[in-house]
Amino acid sequence: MWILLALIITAPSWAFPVLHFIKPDSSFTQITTLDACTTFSTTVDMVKCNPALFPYQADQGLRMGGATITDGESVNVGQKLILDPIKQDFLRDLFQKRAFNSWAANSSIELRTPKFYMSYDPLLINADIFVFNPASPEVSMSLVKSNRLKVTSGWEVLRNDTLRFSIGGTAYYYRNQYFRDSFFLSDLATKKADQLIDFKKKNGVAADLGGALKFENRFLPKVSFVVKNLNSSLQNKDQDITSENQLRTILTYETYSRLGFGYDYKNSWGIINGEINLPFRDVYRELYTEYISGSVGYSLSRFSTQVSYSKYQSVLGLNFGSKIATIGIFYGKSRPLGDFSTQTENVSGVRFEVSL
Amino acid sequence: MLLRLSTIVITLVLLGCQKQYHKPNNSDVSVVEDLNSSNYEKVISELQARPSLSPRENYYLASAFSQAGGVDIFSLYAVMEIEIFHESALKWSDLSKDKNPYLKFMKSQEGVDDDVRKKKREAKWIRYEKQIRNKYDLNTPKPSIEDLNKYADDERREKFTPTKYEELIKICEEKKVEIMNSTADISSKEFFRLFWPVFDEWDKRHPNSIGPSYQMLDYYSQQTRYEMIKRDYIYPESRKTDFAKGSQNWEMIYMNVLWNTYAAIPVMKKLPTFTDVQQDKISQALDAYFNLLHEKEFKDVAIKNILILSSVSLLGLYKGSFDFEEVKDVQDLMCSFDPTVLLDRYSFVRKRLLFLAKVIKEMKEDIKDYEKYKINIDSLELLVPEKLTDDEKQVFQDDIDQFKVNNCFNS
Repeated sequence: MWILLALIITAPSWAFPVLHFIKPDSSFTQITTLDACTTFSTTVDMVKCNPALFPYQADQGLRMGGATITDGESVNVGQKLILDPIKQDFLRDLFQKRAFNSWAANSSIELRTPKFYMSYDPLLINADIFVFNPASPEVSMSLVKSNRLKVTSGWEVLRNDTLRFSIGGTAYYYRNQYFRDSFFLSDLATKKADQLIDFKKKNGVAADLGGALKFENRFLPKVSFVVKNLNSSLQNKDQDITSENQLRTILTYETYSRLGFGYDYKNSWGIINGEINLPFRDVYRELYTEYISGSVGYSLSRFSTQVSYSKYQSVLGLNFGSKIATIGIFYGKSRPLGDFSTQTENVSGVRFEVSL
Repeated sequence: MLLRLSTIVITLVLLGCQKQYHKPNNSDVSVVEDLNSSNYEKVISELQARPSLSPRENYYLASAFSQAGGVDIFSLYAVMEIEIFHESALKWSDLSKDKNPYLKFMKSQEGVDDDVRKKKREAKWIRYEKQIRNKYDLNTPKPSIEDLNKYADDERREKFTPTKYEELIKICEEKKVEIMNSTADISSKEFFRLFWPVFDEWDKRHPNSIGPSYQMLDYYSQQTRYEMIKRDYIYPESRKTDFAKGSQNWEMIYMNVLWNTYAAIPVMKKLPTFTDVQQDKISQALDAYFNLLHEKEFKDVAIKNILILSSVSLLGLYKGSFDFEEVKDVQDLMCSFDPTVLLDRYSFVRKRLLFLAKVIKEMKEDIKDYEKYKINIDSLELLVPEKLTDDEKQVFQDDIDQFKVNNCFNS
């Protein structure tokens, strides 16, 4: 197993896909585990990690939540870029040190029942901007704004003395507005900004499917299968993610899948969860070796903490809760463009949930 | 135990059989980072070492040459600051509006009714005719047959019949039309000289007859000048100029250039000046952009960058010809022009002008009314010789000096 892992971690590098901490439907656990939580059957937001964990949940009621990046270099650059006149020093830093900037946020109102979850996500945003070539500045953008109406449910299909197997799914109706292209700064001389950044709109129905396998033998790992965004209209083409002038979010809006292996350990001091998660292109088509992530979490009553790591991202999260509300703070470090750029990003953000 | 073993084996088989995603190699990743870090020498050497270049790589090569020539967003910050960077990005919604009043005016004049303008100008001409004649000293009356006969003896007087007088008038009128249709520039002193051949023509037809007197030629030279001034006023579009045969007249273009120069003083003062080595790099950048003129993705940006690079390069030379510290108004600008810098670096000026002509020819399919300007573009190479002789430089310098004497020292 270790030899195999060593082999896949040294796999070839890529260029221009963009990584985000906050994705359209990210729960706090997803953010702080880099999605390596598909086997976590003890957290409050486990169903978002994997719909097949639905039979494990016991939470009911109406909840409202949201997540956003609150601080980081990108936030500072974004504020200066949008709100202030551009100074020469800032311009130089922008190209030489902070060429890539991104921001993300999500929100949801969710009704949880024993049979299903229904949620409305009024605003989901992933915004990326990359400026390059100071001799003829080009601006590459990936701006995706969407909202979703979702229904999630799951069933236990097998349970005996040896194992427990469940499946689940989320079907959602989405409305996406997006601009994913590049333009030259000189185009501003002849066109208005809103002509250059021409948002496209697409509606549709997509789905997530999941499976979870848990052995009663505690030495055996829990295994999970998750396929995300089946039938999504925002897919990544090879020529886009390998192009140096097109930004494409990866493991976010397109169809991808995950395979997770996890352990948990419970005692009177709390619960410890751990998982290694392997992401795949499309439906288990090719393994994204560079985005394999691992996470470890600890929770005690209404406090939980997670730490996770992948080649380009690492994050630490702390979540505090009460009966009414929970608030989570996370600190992350990433190389959002992977091998494309050595630029790193330090971010912090929050996710809150309120029971209504 | 068996179950645990089988699970591990299944897992290993699953992973071992799994294909890994191999992204196609993208060697331009480092090029983009190097461009952002202004490591243009590295980009140039890397791209020039490749056997062939894709359009995007060609674009990067052009950009690297541009940086090597000292033209990038950092060196042009002063210009960008004046144009857009003084505002936050939220206010960049419309940067396409015209700021040059003469350009606006030129555009607004495109739909003017020529007949209405002609009638208004004719009325004004009649009103001011006397003052205009006085200003240009065009008051010599037309000599009558009696005037011409006044100092002739009886024999010659008898030969000079009214018919011959009419014939003389006709010859003079024909000469007038010929002069008015000439494309050559005519100074006020030359009109009389141009009528001189009428003497020879008359002598050939009627030897020993009374002919055109100085008074007659003086009248017609004045009358021709008068008619030409009147025509240029009433029909401004018919004014002759070497470089503007389109719908806009020379003065309008001159005012446009002048205004642009005046408005560009804050920019030009901050523009970098380029060494000859940098100018050569700019030439290489222009050549690389030229190769992109037929590439769909890069055509527009290539044209814009060619214009920017050429303009910046020429402005770098042009700005050296003005003493901006002396300039207080538009007239000062005209008067502070010193052509020495332009003459010393004439080869770059010529190179840029010919390059722009080459680009226009290359893009002729996309240029509306190309045929209208074709003659001017084709003749540009003749207008800008490879080298200026000392005499030509002196003539140019003298013309500028004369212009200053005439216009810059008025009370």
